[in-house]
Amino acid sequence: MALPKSLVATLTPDELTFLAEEDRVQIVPLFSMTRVRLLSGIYGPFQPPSATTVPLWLALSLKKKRKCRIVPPEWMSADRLQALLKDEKENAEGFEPLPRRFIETSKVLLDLASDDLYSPTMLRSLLKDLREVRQAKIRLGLQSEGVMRGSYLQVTNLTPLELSELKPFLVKAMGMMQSLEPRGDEEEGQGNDGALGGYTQQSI
Amino acid sequence: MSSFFDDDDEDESLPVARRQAGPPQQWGNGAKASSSRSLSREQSLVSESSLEVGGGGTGSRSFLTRLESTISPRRGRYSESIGLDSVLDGEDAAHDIGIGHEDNDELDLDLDDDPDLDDVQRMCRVWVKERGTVDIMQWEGDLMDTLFDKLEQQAKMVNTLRSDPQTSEEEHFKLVLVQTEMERVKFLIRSYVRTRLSKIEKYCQYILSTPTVHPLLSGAEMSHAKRYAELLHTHFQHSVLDSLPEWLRGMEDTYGDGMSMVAKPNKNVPVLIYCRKDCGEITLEGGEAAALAKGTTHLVKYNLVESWINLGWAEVL
Repeated sequence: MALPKSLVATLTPDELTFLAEEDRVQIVPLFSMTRVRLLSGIYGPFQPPSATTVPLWLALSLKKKRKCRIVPPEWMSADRLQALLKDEKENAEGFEPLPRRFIETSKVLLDLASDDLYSPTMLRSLLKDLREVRQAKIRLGLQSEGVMRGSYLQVTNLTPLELSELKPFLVKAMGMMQSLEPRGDEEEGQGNDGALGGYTQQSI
Repeated sequence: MSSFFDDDDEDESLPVARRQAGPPQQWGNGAKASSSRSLSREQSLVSESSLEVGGGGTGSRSFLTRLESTISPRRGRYSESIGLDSVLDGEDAAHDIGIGHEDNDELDLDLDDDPDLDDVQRMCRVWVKERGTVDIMQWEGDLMDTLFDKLEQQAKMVNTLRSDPQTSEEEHFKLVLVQTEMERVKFLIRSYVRTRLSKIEKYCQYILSTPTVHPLLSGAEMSHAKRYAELLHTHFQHSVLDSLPEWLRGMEDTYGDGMSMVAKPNKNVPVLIYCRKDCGEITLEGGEAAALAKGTTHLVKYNLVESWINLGWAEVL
């Protein structure tokens, strides 16, 4: 098949990390080099004490060669994360707005550049707490009455990674619910996509 | 030598039009520099070979010709790529400016950051959009052409610079970076094309029977859809249909309950969208309204937000 089944439903965490690696990050190079022109832009010059902005993948590749120090994003500090965690816990109704790819970014930074972070263990546990608080909220939200009834869900401030975890389940569930609904108004535009409720419709 | 490495201190904030004036000149210099360098190298080689007694002569001679053969075509390539690149950049600039104007005319100024995106980021968006939806999206021909051209140029330069013994350590390091990025972009393109291919194969009958979908596909994709549908049809006929009674042989029949044999994209499948602009309200099937305010994220049936997605106001996640 052109696209493996496992990739059809949603983007995988690896692919999301790939996207996160396109984001820009500040580095302090430990070597000097003139500017380099890549497809996505011109980066550099790399001159030791002064910082420069590069895509995350470039920063990580330099980091692996011990040629730079990555300046962690502003939200990746214990203080900020503690504040975010507190807000997240207090906000029972919704989710706190977080950087779009905070899970992916923090994961690769903790894995590959933990020596550039201030107290990485602390950060790791804070990020884990933050993620678990949000996951608990998601689970609670899904249990509430009526979420599965319609075919619409507001998911503001959830990050793409969290959404991609949920998407296959939600899409499937919504398809099921739709096919169980009394027929009538859904005649137009009704495809018979075998992957989604099509079978159910036939067998009912 | 300075092909894609910027050695001069040109300012990035310069307008695009002025920036383009830079590279051709710079490359001209590069070509000249390399040719003069090759001259001195030939001289040094000659002196070396004259020092060597015996069999060395033929060896260094063949090395000389090899050197020449790597250099002379490169000179040609430089001039070629100068032309190509300036044309390309010109198109790019025109494209960018075009988008910018449209945005200024039609939409609010501050909301859209599209013109700031580079090609790779744009490609990421396009890919995510294709992956996130069930329907077939518009084929991004211009973007693909630009990326392919750039990739090809990069590949040529990497090859010439790599085989050139004159390339310095620093440049070899840059080459590694360039190649890493090329692989990333290639992955994106591959995955994008494969996603489209799987959709096309799945819905080939629907595509062929619906003329409104045809402009969404590239020429190659269209001919693939045709050939694939043909193959599938002949296969079914040979294996099963020919041995069935005449009235059971149809491949595009519709059952009594309105189910068709032609698989088409189910536009009721929900998509995840992030509203980059205020998209107003949509009416759900229950009669309820949902506001798609700027900066909010929704999981909503594709057919309800199709127009916003196509406008780019809603970004697929």
